[in-house]
Amino acid sequence: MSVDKDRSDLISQFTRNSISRRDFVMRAVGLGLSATSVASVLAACTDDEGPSGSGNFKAPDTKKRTDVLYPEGYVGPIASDKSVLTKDPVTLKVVVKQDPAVGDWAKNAFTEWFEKRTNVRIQWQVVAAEDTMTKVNAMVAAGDLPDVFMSVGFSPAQEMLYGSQGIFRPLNKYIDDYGVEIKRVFQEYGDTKQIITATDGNIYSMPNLNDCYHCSAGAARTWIYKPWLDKLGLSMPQTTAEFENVLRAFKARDPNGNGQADEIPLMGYSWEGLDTYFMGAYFYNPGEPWLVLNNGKVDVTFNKAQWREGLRYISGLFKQGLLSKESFTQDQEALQRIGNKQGEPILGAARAYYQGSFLTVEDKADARWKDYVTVPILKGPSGTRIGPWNYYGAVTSGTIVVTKACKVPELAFMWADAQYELEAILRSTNGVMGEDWRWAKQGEEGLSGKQAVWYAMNKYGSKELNNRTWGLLGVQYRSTDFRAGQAVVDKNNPTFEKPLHQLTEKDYWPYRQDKSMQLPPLNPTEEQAAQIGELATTINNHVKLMTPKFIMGEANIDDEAQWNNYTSTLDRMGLANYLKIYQDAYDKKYKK
Amino acid sequence: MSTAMNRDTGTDRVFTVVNYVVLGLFLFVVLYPLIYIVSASFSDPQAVISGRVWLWPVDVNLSGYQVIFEHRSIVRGFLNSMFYATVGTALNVTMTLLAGYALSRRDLYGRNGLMVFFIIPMVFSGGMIPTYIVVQQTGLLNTRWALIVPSALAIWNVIITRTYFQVTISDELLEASRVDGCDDFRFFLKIVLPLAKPIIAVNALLYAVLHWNQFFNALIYLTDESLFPLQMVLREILILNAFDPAQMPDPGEVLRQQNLRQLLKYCLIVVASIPPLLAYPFVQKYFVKGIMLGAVKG
Repeated sequence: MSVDKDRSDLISQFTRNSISRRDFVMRAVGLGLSATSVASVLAACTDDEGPSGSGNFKAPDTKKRTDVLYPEGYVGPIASDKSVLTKDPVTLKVVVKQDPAVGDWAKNAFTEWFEKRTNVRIQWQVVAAEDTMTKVNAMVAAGDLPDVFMSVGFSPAQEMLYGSQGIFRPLNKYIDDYGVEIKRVFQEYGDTKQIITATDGNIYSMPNLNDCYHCSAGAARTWIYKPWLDKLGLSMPQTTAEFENVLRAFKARDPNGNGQADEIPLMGYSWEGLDTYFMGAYFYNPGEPWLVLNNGKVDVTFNKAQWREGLRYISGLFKQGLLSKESFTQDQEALQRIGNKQGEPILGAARAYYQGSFLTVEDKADARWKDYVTVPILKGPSGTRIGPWNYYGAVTSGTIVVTKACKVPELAFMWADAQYELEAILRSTNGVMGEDWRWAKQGEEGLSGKQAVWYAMNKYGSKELNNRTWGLLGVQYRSTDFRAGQAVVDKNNPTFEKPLHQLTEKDYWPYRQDKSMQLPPLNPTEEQAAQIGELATTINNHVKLMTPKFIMGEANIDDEAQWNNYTSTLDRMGLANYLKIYQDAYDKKYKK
Repeated sequence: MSTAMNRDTGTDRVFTVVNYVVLGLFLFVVLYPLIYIVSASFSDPQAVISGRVWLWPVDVNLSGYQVIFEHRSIVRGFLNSMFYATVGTALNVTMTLLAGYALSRRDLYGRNGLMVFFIIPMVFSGGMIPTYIVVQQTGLLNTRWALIVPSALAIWNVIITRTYFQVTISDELLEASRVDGCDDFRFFLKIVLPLAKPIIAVNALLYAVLHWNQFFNALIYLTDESLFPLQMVLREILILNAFDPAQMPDPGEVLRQQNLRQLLKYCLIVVASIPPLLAYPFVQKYFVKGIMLGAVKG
């Protein structure tokens, strides 16, 4: 069900890769090799030219444009004029996913513009957006390879597997010899190169970089209905005790004024955990799969004393009727029905990724979502206040890979590289220049209040953009400054990104954990990935089963025996082994 | 019914009441989601998402249907599915009748041996990758025929059809025709086919529904969007809810997908269900008859 959103961090990839899928990949590849051996023998003749390709191409002339404005200290993509990548048009076969907004890939406005800019023609092969890997694995196994796979979502383990078998080409040489924009990415986002490098030292894929500032805090974000606070004369809660008081007031004092006790003080939904927010008052907890680094040692959070303290607090909220029971079972649509309730609002606070997770984000001046603001990370009884911040969310590896079937790998690489240029990025996500977006004028402010770089005339995702963009399915370099460089022209009616950005800056960024505490993306081997996947399923399911039980009082959090039973069950499930595999994968990549 | 009423005892009456209540509940459980989907498809998406629609349409609004008919890939998918369903079914039915009839003839040399060959692939399939390679090397990959030729025959239907012929077409009939100077082809066309209407209807319906719901083969064999059947398009839009917060997606992207999905979801389900619903009443009268004939006396 989740294959579509493959732009996941590595860890959630593991947990979803079930054993059967892995088996399938292995078998598929085994068969594929026999089927393709003839082809690879033939191809070997042309491969002898060495990894740097035929030498018929050279990196495009890139001249920085001077008419585009940037704020001071801007870090991110730069607009340049580029020469075409090849004098005579060359056609590449590219596999992409189906997308309703992109429409027909061949007749898409960005496709046409980019073909003109690069002189590379594309023959698209479109695969379904769900179960993409079934088709892709079949293609690989049958030796039916395109030149390039784009945004089909290879996991690091797959990259490593197919890379080591020579199905994906290592790109290191091309990056050195032909790279222009990617070098800027590596320079400005220092982690990128290390994240996308496999443990054998090769780079098999071009990354997508989307440094969404407010996404980094999304795991913990919690919302509160500001008008109720004002009406009841309460200030924004800063500590766990204050938060509890606010919820009690929401429940008891009829803030929506309809004379009924229909207010729901706090609610969440089953797709997101409550722990990511509340544990911040006790210790650093990044949420599922709850892995942290403790002075270079991989550890988990869910069996610690602080976790128990946190559960005790949440359980206290539940027992007072402040946290609704549905939070553990309902899906997003059910939560939205509560958030969108006609008439007086009934939802006081919600643990949700962004405004659209619990109500409709409408483009109206008096829309309800504008009245919900974030609650800062709470301070616990012992003064702890750490919100989980995702330092590694920006880079998605596995976005573009070049296969061994490609006769002009250096051209395929340059085609990918050219997508990281500023104008290409804007056209690829925001549509046609001059119609859907334009360069910012002097004095226009961006999301962060500094000089803007660009202005979106049609909102991202609006119907007008259908068939004009690639959405987020290409490779891009969207740095924080680039994103914040979006001009806010109508100050009274900004998009939801503006408050999201500001609130994150105020309520979450100051309380982020130290970077050394977060487990960075790893490149386990296929075998390690399979083992981790198996163990993670059992262990995480047990945590997900017991957490609501402790909160709702079905298991008593204060009872030593029950708590010990919980932790020892986790141990019996192979927690030590699980951590050891992670430790090995971590040491292999990051221990010098 | 009236005779039953006369003999109704107290317990019978209780039984009848309970029966109606239970069946009524079942009916409600089945019917409610259907009505809800139709109502939701005619309602303002905003009313659906704020929970105001529960039985009848609220704020009647056709914007979803409008988008569907503007969306080229949906219309194209619909037409493609019609093509696959009609051409595919025609081929299926022809093949099944030919195979089923031949296998039903007692004088077919090596009939049992042939039957074994039919049954083997029904029990063991070659597996996905080998089949993919066959499709690739026969040049069917990424053509319309990839959805039609590899599934040209369902063995199960052949068995039903064979049994049907064994039961309805007696040897005497064949002998009598022969005496009148009828050869095998003429016998098949003039005698067998007219007697086979029920089994043709059953086969046509089973195959057509199979083609209409066909998703996996399209997923595996097609990469040209202009060939995609409706189910691929449908799925593409319906899965747009697969938003996983653990992956920290870009809210702009999530919102884009959410909006489109809310608008189209119910309308698409309705549109995709119409053709099978339209076809069903016409073949339904043959359906029960044909299946029973084939299955019971096997």
